[in-house]
Amino acid sequence: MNEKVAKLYQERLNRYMTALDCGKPDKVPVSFGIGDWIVKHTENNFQEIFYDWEKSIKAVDDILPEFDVDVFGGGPTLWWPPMWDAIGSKLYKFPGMGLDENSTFQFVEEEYMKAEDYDAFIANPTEWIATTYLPRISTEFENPSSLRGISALIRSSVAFAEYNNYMGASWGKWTVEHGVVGQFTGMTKAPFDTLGDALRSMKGILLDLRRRPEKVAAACEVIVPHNINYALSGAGADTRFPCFAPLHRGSYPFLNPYQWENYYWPSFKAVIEGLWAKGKRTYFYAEGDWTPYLEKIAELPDKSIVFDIDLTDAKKAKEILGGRFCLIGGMPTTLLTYGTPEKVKEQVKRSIDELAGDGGFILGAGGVVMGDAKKENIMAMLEAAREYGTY
Amino acid sequence: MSEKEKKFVPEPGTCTPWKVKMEELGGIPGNEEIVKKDWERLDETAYNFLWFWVHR
Amino acid sequence: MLTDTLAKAILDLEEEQVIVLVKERLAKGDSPLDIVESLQKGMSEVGKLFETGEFFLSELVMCGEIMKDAMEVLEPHLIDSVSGNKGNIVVGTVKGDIHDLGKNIVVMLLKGAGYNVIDLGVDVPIENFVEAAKESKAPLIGISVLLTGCQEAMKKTIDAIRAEGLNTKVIIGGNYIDELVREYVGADYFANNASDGLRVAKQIFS
Repeated sequence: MNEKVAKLYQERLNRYMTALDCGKPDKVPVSFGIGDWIVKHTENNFQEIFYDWEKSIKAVDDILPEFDVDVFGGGPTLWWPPMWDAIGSKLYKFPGMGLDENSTFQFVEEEYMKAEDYDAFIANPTEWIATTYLPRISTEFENPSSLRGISALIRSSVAFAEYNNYMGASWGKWTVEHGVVGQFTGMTKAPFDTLGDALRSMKGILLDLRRRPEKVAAACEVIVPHNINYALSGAGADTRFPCFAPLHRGSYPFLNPYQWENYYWPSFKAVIEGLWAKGKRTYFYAEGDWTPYLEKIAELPDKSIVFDIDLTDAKKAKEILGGRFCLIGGMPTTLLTYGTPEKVKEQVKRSIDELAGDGGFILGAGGVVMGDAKKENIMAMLEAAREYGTY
Repeated sequence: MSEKEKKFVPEPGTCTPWKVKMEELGGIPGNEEIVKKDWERLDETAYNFLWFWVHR
Repeated sequence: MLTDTLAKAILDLEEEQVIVLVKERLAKGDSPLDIVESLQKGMSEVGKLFETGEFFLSELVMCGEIMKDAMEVLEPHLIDSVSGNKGNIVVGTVKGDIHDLGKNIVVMLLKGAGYNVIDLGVDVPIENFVEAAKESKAPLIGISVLLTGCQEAMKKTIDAIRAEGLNTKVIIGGNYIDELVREYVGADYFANNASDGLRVAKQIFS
């Protein structure tokens, strides 16, 4: 890292760390990632960017010099599809493989775990994943004792290792060459979401809450230590940066208040507290509207989360969580797509006025920035952040 | 192997814990630490690979 | 208050009791259409509670499941009957989007409220919307969307409907949609949840 980049990195790191600890840095830190909106600004289609990581890295390298962000959310793709193809995964459709080469990826929601699997899962979840779930979600691994099945598992696990190495190398490169600070290390989920996303599906778990609530509670409890471990292990023991926790069914109005308090919250709270006990903060990625639950969230240990405001009432979030937890947000994703640079700038000013106050605030887009976001709007956001963001 | 294979519920972060492996082997002639270090690291990778498909 | 025990059982989300009651009434010789009416009455109450915020998505999904099971029992007895009477509504998820949950909730509520819903499914090609609109002469078309990347497809679908000179209103529905999106794609209305959609339908068909 040359001296200039090293200095830049240190400044940005201080800004991020200070805000995470609810302090007031020199400027309001800005957080942003390169979503798949970048694809149309490259010579490549979606399939090429998703499948070819050199092209994906190049897309990031090309834009980062003009991208003045403190906290960087990463490159355009969440997954490397060859790993999924290698085992014939049914979970996603990818561009050029099941979908048009110019579409983004989509999740195929099914009850991959059946209602009758609960007992086996609760008794020994890792065993159940290996012997029941993995063959069920993987066309190439349907028969684990065949050559086809064994080779699929080898291919996919090699791809898993390759991908992790590549991710590590990419982040190293971005840090050294562009001085950006990575947003998080490791990931976890609310146990209810672990169960409700890829396992029981949205409909499955909502019905389970009425038909077999005791199984839902038992399964969530079993998942807690796994989700704590997964976050720390995936982070390579780093505890400076928060671990990413994309949250789904806890947003309003999926669950009624009784269900939320009894089935969503206790196990997730246990994960957050378990991680915090080990010094690891949770990036509470609250997609959707979490306004009705702010009071409960406020019961968490001070600073144990950074709360991402998507459709949650920002003023209430500030009022209830502010001072004790860092807040991130202030830019609705729809404005980045349908707004104009002028409107985006006005919003940045308004958000900083309302939310930045005495610190503990990071400017960012709430929720996922999708492929149709306009580059000029994103650039306007970053510019305005510097214009209005000095404390 | 299969006769000796023990029934156990692996702790988070493990598939085949070193402790179980050692009980099966009943001790090894060499330095346990040298073998254990990589065994545990690779076992944890296997664990992460399996749970990856759930967390995705 | 509901006096109809079947409608009440739906409202209470008592799935086993609903099926028992449906079978009992069939055995008693009740007209299947009357039974459907009771189911709809219960479902419409569920819809109202969702609108007022007393019920949540988990209750709607449960209600949908109970309705599905009850309709399975009733279907063989219903062959000659017409379901809706308030008018036709065409509904589908926009091309490029395979998400059906939001759409299914709306379809269920609309059916429960007595509309004849023509459900085109998910990832619906533009031509299918146009054809269904022409054939059914539906005064309202609902396009469901989850992915923001499907804006262009939504705009093209609406352009194609307008190009046919059809006198039909278009509502787009999805969690992230707002006035900006509505204006951009050229829809008449937007809804962020099923009950907003229901209100718009009520307004158009009154």
